[in-house]
Amino acid sequence: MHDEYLWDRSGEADPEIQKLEAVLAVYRSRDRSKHAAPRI
Amino acid sequence: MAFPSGVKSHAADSALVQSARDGNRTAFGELYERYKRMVHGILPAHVPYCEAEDLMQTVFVQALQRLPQLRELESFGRWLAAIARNLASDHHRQRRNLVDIDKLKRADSGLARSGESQAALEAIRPLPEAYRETLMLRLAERMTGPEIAARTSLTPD
Repeated sequence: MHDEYLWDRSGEADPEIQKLEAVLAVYRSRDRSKHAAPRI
Repeated sequence: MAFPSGVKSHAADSALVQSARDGNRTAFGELYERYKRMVHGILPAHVPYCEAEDLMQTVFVQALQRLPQLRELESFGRWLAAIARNLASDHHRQRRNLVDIDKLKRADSGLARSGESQAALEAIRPLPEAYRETLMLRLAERMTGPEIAARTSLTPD
């Protein structure tokens, strides 16, 4: 079921959802030194 | 101090929050690791992406400073999301008075992102808050529905 993929990424992959994931991947957080827990 | 990873219960979060309030930086670092994707997903739903990146640290600094004011320890995720939304809103309002928003959008779209990516983000931004944040968390951050529910306290109903 495609609904399962949308909900928890399990089951049969939905090509439309996968395309959106790929398109929006540039906005995903990445492990960079800029992103570290702040120290005060 | 070691903490397990993965989707955590509110009870586990509460213990971390209490420990962080007591000055345990490791505990706050673990909270940061658990919630950084949520904050990173919420911010671009409200402000240009280039500004969202910079606001990440501000959100967590403010959370650390205000931690003693958090009344319900189990509501940390919801509370943190509210801080992110408020800071994004304030920041956007201040910037609107200082810079050319169109210029900012052009700079944002020029950061090695395809027109398709920018168009998708622009299509998401006008949606109601709960939808646009959930879409960014699910599609950009690739969090699952259960993860989003656990972090933000939003439910599918």
